[in-house]
Amino acid sequence: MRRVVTLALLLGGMRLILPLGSQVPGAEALLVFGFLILAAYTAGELVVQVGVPKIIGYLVAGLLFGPSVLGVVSTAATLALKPVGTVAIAFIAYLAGAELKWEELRRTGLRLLQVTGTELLVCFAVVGAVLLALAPWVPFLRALEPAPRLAAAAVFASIAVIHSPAVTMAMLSETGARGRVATTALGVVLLADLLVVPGFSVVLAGARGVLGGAAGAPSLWLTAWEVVGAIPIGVLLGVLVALYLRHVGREPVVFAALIAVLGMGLAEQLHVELLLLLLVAGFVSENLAAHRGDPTLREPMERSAAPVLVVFFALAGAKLELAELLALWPVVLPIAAARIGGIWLGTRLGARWAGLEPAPSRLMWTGLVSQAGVAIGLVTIAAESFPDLGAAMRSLLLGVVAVNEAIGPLVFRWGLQRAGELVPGAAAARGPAHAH
Amino acid sequence: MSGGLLLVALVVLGYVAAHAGFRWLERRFFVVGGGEYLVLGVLLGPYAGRVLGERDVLDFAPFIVLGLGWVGVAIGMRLQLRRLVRVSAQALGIAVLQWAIAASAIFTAMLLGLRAGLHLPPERALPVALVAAVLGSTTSVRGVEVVRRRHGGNPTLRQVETTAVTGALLGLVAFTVVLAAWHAPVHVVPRAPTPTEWVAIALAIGLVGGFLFYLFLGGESDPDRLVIALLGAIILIAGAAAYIGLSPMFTGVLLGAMLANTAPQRSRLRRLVLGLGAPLELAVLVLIGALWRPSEYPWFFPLATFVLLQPIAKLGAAALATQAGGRPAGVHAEWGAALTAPGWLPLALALNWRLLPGAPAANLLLTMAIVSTILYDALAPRFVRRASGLDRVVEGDA
Repeated sequence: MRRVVTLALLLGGMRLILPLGSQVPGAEALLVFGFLILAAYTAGELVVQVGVPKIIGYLVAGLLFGPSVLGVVSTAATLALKPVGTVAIAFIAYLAGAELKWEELRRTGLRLLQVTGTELLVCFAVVGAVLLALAPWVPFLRALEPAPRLAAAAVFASIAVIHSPAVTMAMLSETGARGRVATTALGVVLLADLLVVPGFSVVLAGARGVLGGAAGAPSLWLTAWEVVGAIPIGVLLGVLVALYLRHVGREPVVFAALIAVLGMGLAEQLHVELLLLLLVAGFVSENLAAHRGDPTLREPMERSAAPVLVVFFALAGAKLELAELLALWPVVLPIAAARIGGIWLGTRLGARWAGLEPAPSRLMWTGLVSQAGVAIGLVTIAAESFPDLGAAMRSLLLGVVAVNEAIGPLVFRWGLQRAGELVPGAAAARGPAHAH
Repeated sequence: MSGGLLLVALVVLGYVAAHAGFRWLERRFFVVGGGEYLVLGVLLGPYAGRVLGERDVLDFAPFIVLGLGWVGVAIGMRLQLRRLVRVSAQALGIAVLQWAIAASAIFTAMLLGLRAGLHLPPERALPVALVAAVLGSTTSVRGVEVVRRRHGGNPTLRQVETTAVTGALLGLVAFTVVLAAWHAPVHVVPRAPTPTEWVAIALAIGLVGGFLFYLFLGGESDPDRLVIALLGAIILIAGAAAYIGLSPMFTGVLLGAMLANTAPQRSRLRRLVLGLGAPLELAVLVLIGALWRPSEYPWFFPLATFVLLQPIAKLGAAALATQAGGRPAGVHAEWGAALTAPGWLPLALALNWRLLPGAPAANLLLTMAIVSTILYDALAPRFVRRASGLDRVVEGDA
């Protein structure tokens, strides 16, 4: 309560200051950034008291203070804070890579691939089929001929299958969950991330042949480079991190933040996939360091990531467009439901094929519902590739993402609880970046 | 390679190098590092190597503002009442007097120079001379820290430290008053704030912000949550000050002082501020260098006046202040020479001035701060050791 009152007073103070005008470029974004950290942090602390994941609190804070409701965080400020989201993805990717153990991958890699591949294909098919069935009510499909309609539905479905490693990682961090459901869900989410980007690229290239793309849209070669090129650069960065940890090793929290920012800069400059680059870097550096018995960067990275992730999720909430969501809800809800159904069916079939134990077979789907940044990033690429359909496709996908973003953490928490993998009291004590 | 990426890569490399390099320089040559990052920034900037464009650097403006706020909080964290009350009135009086005399001397000389040499109108010459006086009268504490690490403390080092911290505080107050008095016009209903009201607003942002943050923190002890809350508070306070054209450093000092004196987690917060601030400082140094551009005015005369006058004014001011207040027991007669190095605060202040749209002679002031830092800062430990008489101890021991 004390923090809520303090926050209200800070908000009042900000309201007094805002009319006094901006003098230094970027200062408003900084002001909003600071407020958002404190607001989201407070909301996270509040909701955890009633058994709701902190991420939901961050999202709600973003939505509440964002352009859709109170407007404290303007649309311009959310755009100015875009680099924060990119750094957050860099942190998340590094931490996700650090979670992957070489030995475990060798042991379970094939089974994970079976589950992930099946889940993605089934989900793609189910979402695509439902979308085609609803075509007369879907704004970007209703005017198209059958072949272009199929192509556009395929593009949409290839984005809809994407999960959110950020939310899954953050939920595991927050709850401290350990167990087969938690680790299998994480493995599937991470592997899916490696598969969906090339998959999306193939679908996009095919759709461009049918729908005709915009001039200057990313080519297949460029997209292939984004994926393939990220691997050697990630390895190089990972080796450099391992060398630092071995020979210098001082102030790792600060170094971790610098590495995330450096990775972001490298990905942007060399046109490679940020998520994959940092994922590989995290995987290489942690496994190298662990192999030699050196200290690792995972825990310092979690420390550095904590405030960034709070803002990342709050910004995701701020970007939710309530009005658009309300206008599209008759189409959004069946598609979101179809996606969840596809994930459930896909994981069940995949788990049976891979011969997984009963618990992950039944419940790992709960960790795959969330969606966030990567999906939004890919729909932006699709929107640029097909300017005529892009805006409507983007609105619908953002609606689906909003639903999944809101219910995903709750569903995953329920799944972990059902599997008996929640650590009592962990949610209250841990922050969003605290991986187990 | 893009400017932004290069900058990030430089900071990463610089950060790693600083850990090894700074201590090595200190051990081997008894000098402190930092100036090389400024030179590097200038060499990469739009007027030398052209690797970093003006746009690249200005893209980092929010980051610079955060860095300035952070510097302020780090200074504020030093202002612990428990420690301050142990400083004798005599030492404090000498510190205040020394700063006032040095600042007045530099102000007078610069004002005359700017009016007679550059023919600046009074409304432009006055704020520039005032800012130059603030830049010229601050003192580095890094030299004291290095000497204390090697030789232990003594009364001279305590007097130099008191003078440096007092000077920083008074300089920031004076700088805020200048910003308030020459504030860019703001069109708000019913009327724009007066200079006094701007100062009151700056005080309110720092003090009320600090108090609210103290309430916000409560008894929080988890390190991760402290980092989140501290970052939020510093960003908010620095952003608010910069947003309305005031100094993020000043509001930062107030926030730091509030926390240092009220928060139960003060020592943990202090460690966080100092630990997380190190790469920020390096990045800001490179950015300062990269933001440098040739002065819009003939620069040689004012620059030479400033650079030559600075040590003379400080030394003379220290002698006069000691004469007026009496030399505290154990303080070396030539202690004023220990004040020669300006430290990084003038750079931060000049940068703050440079970021304000339409600030007069911003490039000239930034050039003055850069040159005086490069000239005097590296040798700060040697100045301090010599002025405190510890070099003779070393020679005697040897």
